[in-house]
Amino acid sequence: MKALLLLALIAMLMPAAATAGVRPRYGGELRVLLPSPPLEFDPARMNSFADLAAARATQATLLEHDSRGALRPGLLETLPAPEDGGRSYRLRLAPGLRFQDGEPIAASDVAASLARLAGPPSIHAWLTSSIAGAHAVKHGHARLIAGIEVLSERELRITLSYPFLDFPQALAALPSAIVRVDKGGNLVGAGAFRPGGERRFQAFDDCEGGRPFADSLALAGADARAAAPALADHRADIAIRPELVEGGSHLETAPLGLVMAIVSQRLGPTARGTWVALDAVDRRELTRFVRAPAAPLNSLLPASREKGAPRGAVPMPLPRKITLSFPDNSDALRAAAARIQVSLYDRGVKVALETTPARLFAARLASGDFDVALLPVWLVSPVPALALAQIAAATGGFERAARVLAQAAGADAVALSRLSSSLETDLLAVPLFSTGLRVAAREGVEGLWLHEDGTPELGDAWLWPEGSRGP
Amino acid sequence: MLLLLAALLGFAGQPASGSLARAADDLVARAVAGEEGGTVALAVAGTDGGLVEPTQTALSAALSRRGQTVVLLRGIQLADPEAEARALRADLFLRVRVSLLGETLTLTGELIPTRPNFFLQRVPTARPGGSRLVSATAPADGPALAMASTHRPGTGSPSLVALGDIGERVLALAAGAVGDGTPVRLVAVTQTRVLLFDVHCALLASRPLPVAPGDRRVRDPAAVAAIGDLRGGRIGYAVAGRAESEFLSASGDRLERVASIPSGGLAAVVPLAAGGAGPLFGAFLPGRGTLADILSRSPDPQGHPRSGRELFGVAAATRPGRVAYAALGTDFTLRLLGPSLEAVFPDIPAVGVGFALADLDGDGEPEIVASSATPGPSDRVRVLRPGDRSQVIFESPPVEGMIIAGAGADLTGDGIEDAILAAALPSGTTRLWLLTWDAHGTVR
Repeated sequence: MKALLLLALIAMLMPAAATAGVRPRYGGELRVLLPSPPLEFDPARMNSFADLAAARATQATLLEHDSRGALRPGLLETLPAPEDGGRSYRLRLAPGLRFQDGEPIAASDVAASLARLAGPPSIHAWLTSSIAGAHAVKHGHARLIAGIEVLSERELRITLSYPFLDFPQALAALPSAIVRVDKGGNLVGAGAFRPGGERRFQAFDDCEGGRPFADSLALAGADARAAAPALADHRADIAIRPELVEGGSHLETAPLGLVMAIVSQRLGPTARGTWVALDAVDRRELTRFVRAPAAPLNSLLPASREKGAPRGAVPMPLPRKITLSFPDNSDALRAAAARIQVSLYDRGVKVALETTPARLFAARLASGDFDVALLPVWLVSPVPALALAQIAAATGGFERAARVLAQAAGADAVALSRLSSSLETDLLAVPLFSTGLRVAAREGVEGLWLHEDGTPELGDAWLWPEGSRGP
Repeated sequence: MLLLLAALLGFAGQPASGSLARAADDLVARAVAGEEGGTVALAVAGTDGGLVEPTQTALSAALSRRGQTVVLLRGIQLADPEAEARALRADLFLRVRVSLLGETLTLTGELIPTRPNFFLQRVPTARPGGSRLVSATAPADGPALAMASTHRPGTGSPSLVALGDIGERVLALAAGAVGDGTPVRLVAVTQTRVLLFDVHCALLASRPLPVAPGDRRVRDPAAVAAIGDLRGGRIGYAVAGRAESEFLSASGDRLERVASIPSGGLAAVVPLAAGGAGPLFGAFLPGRGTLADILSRSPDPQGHPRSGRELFGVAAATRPGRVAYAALGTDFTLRLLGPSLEAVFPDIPAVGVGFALADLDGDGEPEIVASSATPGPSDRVRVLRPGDRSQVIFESPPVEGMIIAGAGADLTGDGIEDAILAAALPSGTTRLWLLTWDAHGTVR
C-alpha cells in the first residue's frame, strides 16, 4: 500500500503542464472515451472505473483533493477539524450551494445523502460504517444516521463510533458525493456537468468549483481499436484505456485497480492448499501479459509478508480440478487467468476458466457460487484504512468491512500490516497485481489532471480554438 | 569617396563622429586583421543609447573598407545574436559594446568565428574556434559627447528586468498616477486583495476584497484593474464572480472606497482599462473568468454584447496613437482598436493573456507587449509594432512561469513609456518584470 501511495503521488505530480501566457477558454464539447461505457450513475452503487469517471464529472463531494493530492474543501467552506480526539467533526457548508436542478443544498440534504450511502442498496456503505448509528441504517432499522446531527441550515456535526483521523478522506471518496432524490425519483447531483441526454451532459453554471470550461460532455466506452482512430481524427478528445493509445499527450493513473484471487470455502479441505498454491504463482510473470501498466502485488500491504513465515511451509492437499471464474470485461483478467491455469497445472491441478457477465459477478461472488474467483477492485481511496475496508467489503460484505475499518482507524504501519495479513488469511485472498490506466488526450486538450483515485478532472479540461496556434 | 561608398552601402543614415570613426577603425583593424573578405554579423549595444547607432555606422563602414560584408543584427535578432549569426551563415560574429567612461570613448568587442565547419556539423552550436576579445579607445570629441547625452529611445534592444516578487498570485495589473501630480504607482489585484506598490515594488497599501452574498466561485480566477479618471476615484477594479466592484482612491497608506457598483450582471459597468483616450467599461460573463464583448467608453447599464465573442482582457494606451485600446479574444487573437473603438489594423493571432500597450520607442504609436500563447513551462515577452502586418521587433529569452497580466506606464521616469508584466510562478507567487527600451534600463 505504501508503494501504491508513492505511485499515486507520482501520478499526481505528473499532470497539468504549466501553460505560458495561456488561460483556459470556455466552450466546446469534451468527448471522452472510457474503458467501458458507464452503467451506474448512482454514487452509492457505482462499481467500475467508468462509473467513477462519470461520477467525477457529474457529482460533488464535501471534500476533494487538488491536483497535488492535498485535501481541500469541496462543498464545505473549510476543512473540518477533528474534535473530541477524532470522534466527531463539525461540517460547515459553503454559502450559496445548489443542486443541478436549482434547489439549494442544505445541511439536511447532506445528512440524507450520507444516510442513503449507508442504506441497504448501497455497495459502498462501508464508507459510513465509522459513523455512530450507520449500522442501523444499513440493516433497515433507521432511516437517518443517528450520529449525524443537523445544527443549522449550513452546519452539521458527525459523531463517530471510534476516533478516526482519516474520516475526512472518507468524505472525499466519490461514493460519498452529495445527491438528492427529486420528487420523480431521479438522482440529482451537484457536480460540474448535469445530465443532458444519453451519456451526454451539460455544463452546470452553479457548480461549487465554478462552471466547467467545456459547454458539454459526452462519455462513451471504446475498445483499443476504436479509441486510437477516434483520437487521431478528433472524433474524441480524451481516451482512457489500459494499453497505450497513440496520439497526443499521456497521463497514467495510480495503480489502484487491484486484482485478487479469492478461494471459496466450498473447496473444503483443499481450500487452504489452493490458496497456498495460488500464492506461489509468479506475479511478475502474470503482469507480463497485462497490457495496462501493472505492478506485482505480493500482499495487500507490501511490508506485511516480510515478518511472517512463508505460506505453504507444510504440504497441504490440493484439489484435482477447479473452476476459475472472472468477469468478462477485462483482458487483463483473461490474461492472468490463463497464466494461473498453466501455473496450477504444473502442480497437478486442472483449471477450467469461466467468465461471468460483469454486472452479475458481484452477486455470484456474494452467493459463494465459485471455486476460485479473480476479483478486480478499483480503490476509491488510496488511504490504507479505507483501501483495506473496501477490499473487505468487496469480498466479505459490510460487516467485515466495518470491522476492518474499526481496526484500521488509528492503526500504525505495523498494525496495518498485521491486519492486512490476517485479512488475506480470513478471506483466503491472494493479492496478485495492481493496474493503472493510461489517459491519452489529443493535441489541443489542456488543463486535464487526474484525481487521487485516477479519475480525470473534466471540469478543468478545456479545448484550444481550432487554428489559433501560431508564432 | 568614403562617404560615397558609405552612402551606396546605406551606412550614411547616422554620421560617425571623428573620435568614434577612429575608435571603430582601430577596433576593426585589430579584430579582422588577417581575415580575408567574408561576412561579419555585427551587434552593437551600449549604456549610452545615443552612441549605439553611430557606432553601428562607423563599424560597418570600417569593416566594409577592409573587404568584409556586414550584416547588422537588430531587433528580435538580438535575442540570441550568435545563433542568428550562424543562421545567417556569417563567417564571423562581432559583438561590440560602446561606452563613454569619463571623456574616453571605449569600444569593447568579442569576435566569434561562426563559419560552418564540416567536422562540427553534428554540433552546430559548437564554436569552430575560440573567440577573441578586442578593444579600442579614443578621447571623446564634441560630437561623441553630444550623441552620448542624447537619449534615443528605440536604439539597441529592449531589456527585461525583474522588479520583485509578490507573495500571491496577481490576476490584474494597472500602472499610472493615482493622484494629480503624484508619481506612477502599480495596482495589483489578487484573489483576496487589492495592492498598491511604488515602482520599486514596495507595498504602500492593501485592501481586502469585499464579500457579498451574490459572490460565486469561478473556475478560472480573473480580474481587471484600471488607473484613470474613474467616477471620482483614480483606481477601479473588478474580480470575476464577485458581485461587487469598487472605485478607490489612494490616500497615504490607505486605499479608500469612493464608490461600489454591482457587477454580477451583464452590463458595461466594470472598469476594464484606462488610458489617454479615456476609460473602458465592460462586464464579466456570469460565472466565468472571461469578459463579454461589451466595450463602452462610459458606464452603460443597458449595454448588450455585440457578439458571442469572449475576451480574456483589454488594454488601453496611456499615449494613444492610431491604436488606443486592444482586446484579446479567447481565441488568443488581439484586436487593435482606435479611440472610437473601431478596428484599426488586422487582428494579431497567437497573443498570450499577459499583454499591454506601451509606446516603448517614443514614436507616438504604442507597441504591443505580449506574452506567448504557446503552452509550455515558461513564457516569452514579445514586442510587436502594429501595422497592416504587425512586426515582431523583440522577443525575450524564456521567462519562468506564466505571464498573466501587463500594463504600460513610464516607470523609469525618463519620459518614455515602459511595460510592467506579472508572471505567475509555480510556487503560487508572482514576479513583476519591467520591460524598458530606455538607455539606462533602470527604475529611477
